[in-house]
Order: sequence, then structure tokens, then C-alpha cells
Amino acid sequence: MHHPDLTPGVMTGLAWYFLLASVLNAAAAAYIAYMELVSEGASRVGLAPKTRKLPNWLVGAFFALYGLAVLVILGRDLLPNATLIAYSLCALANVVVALTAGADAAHFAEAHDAGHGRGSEVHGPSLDDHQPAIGLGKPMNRTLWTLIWAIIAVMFQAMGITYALGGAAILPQFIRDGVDAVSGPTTFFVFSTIAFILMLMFRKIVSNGIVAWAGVNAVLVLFGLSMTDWDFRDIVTKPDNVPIVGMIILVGYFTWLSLRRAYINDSRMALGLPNLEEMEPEKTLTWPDLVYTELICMVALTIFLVVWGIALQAPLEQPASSTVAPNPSKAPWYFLGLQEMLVYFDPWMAGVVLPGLIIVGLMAIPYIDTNKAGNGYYTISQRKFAYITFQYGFLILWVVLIVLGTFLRGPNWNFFGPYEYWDLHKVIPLNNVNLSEIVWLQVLGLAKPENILKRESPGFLVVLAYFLLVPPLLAKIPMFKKMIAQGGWLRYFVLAGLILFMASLPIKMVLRWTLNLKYIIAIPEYFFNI
Amino acid sequence: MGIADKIYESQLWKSIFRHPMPTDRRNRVVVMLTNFFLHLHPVSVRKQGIALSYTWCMGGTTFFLFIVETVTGVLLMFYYRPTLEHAYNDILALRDVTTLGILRELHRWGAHAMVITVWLHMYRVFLTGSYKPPREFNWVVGVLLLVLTLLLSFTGYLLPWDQLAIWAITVGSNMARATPLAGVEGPGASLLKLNGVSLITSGSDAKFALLGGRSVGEMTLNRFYVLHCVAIPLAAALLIMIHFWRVRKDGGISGPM
Repeated sequence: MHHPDLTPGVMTGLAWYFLLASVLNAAAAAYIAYMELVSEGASRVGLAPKTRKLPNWLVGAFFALYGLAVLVILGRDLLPNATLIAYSLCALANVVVALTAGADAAHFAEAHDAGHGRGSEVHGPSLDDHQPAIGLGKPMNRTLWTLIWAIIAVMFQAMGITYALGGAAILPQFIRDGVDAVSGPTTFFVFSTIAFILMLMFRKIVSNGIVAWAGVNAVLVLFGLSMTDWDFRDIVTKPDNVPIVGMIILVGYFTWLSLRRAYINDSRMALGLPNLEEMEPEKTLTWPDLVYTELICMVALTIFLVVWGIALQAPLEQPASSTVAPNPSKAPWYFLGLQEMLVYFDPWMAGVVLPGLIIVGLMAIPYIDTNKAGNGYYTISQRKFAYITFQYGFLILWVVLIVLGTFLRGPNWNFFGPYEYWDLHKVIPLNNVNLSEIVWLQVLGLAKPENILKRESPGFLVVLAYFLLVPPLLAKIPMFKKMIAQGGWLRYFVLAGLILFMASLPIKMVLRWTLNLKYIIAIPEYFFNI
Repeated sequence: MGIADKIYESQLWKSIFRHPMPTDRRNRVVVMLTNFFLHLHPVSVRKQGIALSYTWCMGGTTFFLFIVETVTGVLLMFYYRPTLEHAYNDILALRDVTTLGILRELHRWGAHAMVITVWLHMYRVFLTGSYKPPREFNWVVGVLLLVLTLLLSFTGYLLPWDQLAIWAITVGSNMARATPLAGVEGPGASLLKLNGVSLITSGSDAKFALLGGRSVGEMTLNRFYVLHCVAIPLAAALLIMIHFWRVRKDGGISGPM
């Protein structure tokens, strides 16, 4: 099925998208060149006043150019090519900011090397010097990174102008085919899990703002180029899928922010310093400090919602018909993680028991987590087990599965790569077998017994062993020993039960991928399949 | 005396706000104690506790979205009739005929946003360990509010009565059919018999109770409408009050204990 990858509307959209990417990088360059770059709390320990300042003319020029662009767009009926003129003005503003920041950073570096502007000559280190937060390692080279973000800003702007002028840069077909070829539920899930483990292992590197911003840029490029693909665009821009794109961005940002704060806190506490949350123990009056923050948040949110409401119409499809089922039929997006579990479990597990246990398990958290540390501040090292378990559950087993169910599951709930056409007739061979068949037919070479209980006895043994033998075995691990000593056996068994249920999903996945296992216990006569 | 001062000194102003503008320390304290809406807050808060990079402002955002949903929801109820005859056409008219026709957009996008902000709020509360003593029970209340938020969104999903609505609810409610013991296709349900007659049939199981019928139909629309507009919002409002009350009682705004 062939659809045009690029249409005039898409090109215009991409031109503005890369303008946004460019202004973000110009802002990053200006931030590093001009702002007081100090670690959390450094401003509170009284460093010297800042020696760099954002030039007023630059701010003025930036907003004047953007303001002029808005005026041009408002008067588009009078001017030929108004949109292109407005676009050029915005692009010019971005490039001016990027180049000025780069030039000034180089100038500051020279002046700094010549011995000027060092606050340290007077009192202590200068804000001019970059003080990385404790634990985050060496100071960065401000000139270098200003130049890099400035160059990237100019490059993004060049891409945007290419699209605005009708140039047709698309994601090369071989990359799309390659991504689609390696995509699958297995690779997607395994890759996410590996990324999760790497993120925790290398949290020092991930916490670094430079690394994080490089990641943001990589995503910006990849997403922008992916939008040139018809199939990718078709799924991502469905009105009800737009909030999920927003959710991915928000969850990603807040995961990073919390990881960074936890890492800084852990480094500080290892040195015997107070954590970030303990640095300001004093109180402030609710009016005006909190009340005004709330007011500003409410106003900003109202504007955001109104703009969103005007820009994007709520979806309304054909009138309801109980005879014409759409394919795929999907639950509301926040339940798509549960719908994805239906691939591995029957509805009574995926739709009733496991969701119920998620709710019960969430409620049980404060009562089974007896660790007194980590109350009211971000930390990983003081509560590793709780942190990893929750993060794995939320990020991988919830958010990643929603993304999978939303963007990568098409007709008949088949898996489709991000650039693959949702073909109604795609056939995926299913040759899944039950444990009873593996044991009786393949291993023992016997016929399957008639008696249900005897037939399914291997499955019952496996499930019983899982729930009865694993908890006592785990109890021998020092970490759990400590938990039992602190909280007692009842708490431990509740915890172990919940963890085993949670782990049952990835375990079932792996069994499916490796052994084509369908059910461990299969008694369809009573709808009892596990 | 300027006009502003005259207004602050007037009987009308004093009768409503009971004190002058909170520009000095005394009145900034008094305003928090005498104003009905503000007295939800304490007079003073920990500086660290209101830092955006710490709290992410997600709980407050969720509450604000709840208010937005309530206001736009009431306005939508003026236009919408939950019957097979009218539901879809009323939504069409809301889009095409009504002045300022972004009410449904505000409501729908606000609802999606609310689901996300609830998750992020819980995410922050977990990551800062703020569910630990003495706040255990408030976390439990919060989980209940999460469930209610999802139910609100789920029941609202059906009301436009388009293909998206009916099939999403069909897929979701098919799960109820598989409830152990209580659903017609749930494990063990066929064992529940009285004198050889099955107790759990497609006309008496959990799915039937949820939908008010064997499949998604007019009774489902009515049922979900009442749940969406009356029952769940009332329950949520009650739990929100308890949630806020307990924030104050359990040590105030989050921070190192």
C-alpha cells in the first residue's frame, strides 16, 4: 500500500517542528554561554555575583523578530508569501541567538584565560566557573558546549528551511525497513528492559545535563524524520494518541529529573552532606509564595488546555454500531498495557486478577516497605529494592506496554513496526503449545491422559512450586532476611506473593518467546488457563 | 487616600474578605485563616516543599483538572442527552453548531491530562518516599482516587456513542465476563449451581451488572452516564477532601521527616 510520505501540509509542519528544535538548541547555547551555571544549592552558599549577562540587545532582537513574524502572519491576506516571510524572520532570530552565544562564549573564554572576571580573586569561586553538582564529576567546558549546541541549532534551522522551501528530506527507506525488520514484541520489550538496566547502572552519566540534552536532540531528529513516514504519522497523530506522546515526554523528563536528584542526593549523603531537600528547612508564608505559584500554574494550564482544544479537535468517529467491529478494537489508551497482557494471559488473569492485584499491591506498599530511610527526599541507594521494583513496574510493565499496545499493535492485535503499514491481512503463524503437550507428548512420548487433573499435573506442580518454594528460597537472600527481621513473616509473604505475580508477566513472556508456551495450566473446560 | 484604599476600607470589601489586602505580614497570616478557600493551606510552608523541581506540582494540577472537568462537564450536560436517539447527534451538534465549540475538547483533553497527572503525582510521591509513616493511609486514599480517575475516564469514554466509544467499552467490559466465579466465562463459574441450574449466566454475571445488558446498549449508556456525572464525581470529591485533610494532619507538605 503506497501513500505519499510527504504532502505540503507535512512539509510545513516539519519546517515549524525543526524551527522549534532549533530555538530549543539556541536557548541551550545561550543558557550555557550566559547563565550562572551553578550546582543546586551553590547560590545559597553565597558565591560571587555573576560576571556574565544575557545582552539586552539580543533579547530585544529575538522578541522583535518573533513579534514581527506574528504580525506578518496576522496580516497574511495583504502580503504574498506571508508564511514564508514570517518563517524566515523566526529562523533569523534563532540563528542570531545561536551565533551570538557561540561568539560570546569564545570571547568569555579568552577573557577568562587572560585572568579577567574571576570572582575567585575577590571571594571564593565565581559563578562564572561551572560548578557541577556534587557527584556529577568534572566541570564542563562552557565554550565548547555553547558552540556545539549553537551549531546544532543552525543545523536544525537549515533542515527547517529546507522543508519550508519544499526540499524533501525523508527518512531513508533502508533505515525504515531495517527498523521494521528487527522490531517485534520480543525485541521491543527486551530492548526496553536493557535500556532500563543501563539507565540505572550508568545513572551518573545519565544525570549529566549535557548527556541528557544530547539524548533530547537525538529524539528530536529521529521523531522529526520519522514523521516523514506515512504509516508512522498515521498512528502518532491520531487525536487520542497525541496525549500519549505527551505522556512519554513527561514521564521521560520526570524520570530523568528524579534520577538526577536521587543521584546528587546519594553522592551528597555519602560525603556526610545534607541532601537537597534538607538544605532549606526554614518556612515561608503561604501567601504569597505558594498561593501565587498555584495561581500561575492554573493560568498557564488554562491557556495550555484552551490552545490544545482549539488546535486539536476531539475525535468523533462513525455512530456506534454493534455489528461493525473496527479492527483493531482497542480499549482506552490507559488500559492498553492490560490489553497487551491478553497476549500472554487469559482475560480472567489479564483483565481481573492482575489489575486487582496492581491496585491491592499499590495500597500495600506503605505497609510492606518497612525501610525508614528515604522519607521525603529523592534517593536510590537507600532504598534500592523498592526503587527498582516500582520503577520496573511503572516504566516497563505499565508505560512501555501502553506504548507497545498503542503504537505497535495493529489489526488482529498483530505487531507492526513503527514504519509498517497496518495490513489487515498480515498473517502471523501461531503454533503455541501448552505445557501438558510439551510434557506428555514431546518429553515423555505418551498420549495425553484423559483425566483433567492428571493431564494438567505438570502445570499444577510448576505453579505450586512457584508460589510455595520460591518465597522460602528468596528468604535466604540477605536483603530479604533483613526485611523479615524488620517487618516479620506476614509482611514478607505478602511482598513475595505480590512480586511473584508481578514477575509472572515477564516470565510468561520469556516462555512464550523461547518455548512457544501458551498455557502452563490449560483447563478450557472450566475457563481455567494460566 | 487612593481609590484602592477606599475599596479596601469599604464595608462591602470588609464584609466579604474580613481584612485588608494581604500586603503585610499580619494580613498574610490572617488571610490564610479567614478565607474559606485558602484555609485549606497552612499559614506557612516549608520552602523546600513548594519547590517545583521537588513536587512537580502534579497533585495540584490534578485537582485543578478535576475542577475543569466538573465545570465543563456541567456545561456539557446542558447539551447532551444519554439516549441512543440523541447521544451521537448531540455531540455532533456540540462540535458543529454550538458557539465556542471547544467544550468537549477541553473536557476530553483535560480528562486525558488528568490521568497522566495522577500517575505523575503518584510517581513523585513514590520516588520521594512520601508514602512512608505517617502518610501510609493517605497513599491508600490516593490509590483509590487513581482508580476513580480511571473509572471516570472509562465511563466518559462511552458517552459520545461513536465507534471508538462502543468498541473501547466492549473490549474493556469483556474482561468482566471472565471474572473468577462471577463471570460467565470465568474460572469456577460453572461450578456455582443450585439444583442443577447455573447461577452465573450471561444474564446474571458481572458483565451484565456492569453493562445493564448482555452487550453495550442503551441501558449501558444510561448506567455509565449516571456513574460518570453523579456517582463517581461525588465519591471522588469526598476522597479528595479526605486526601487534603490528611495531608495537613499527617505532617503537612512533603519533605524530609
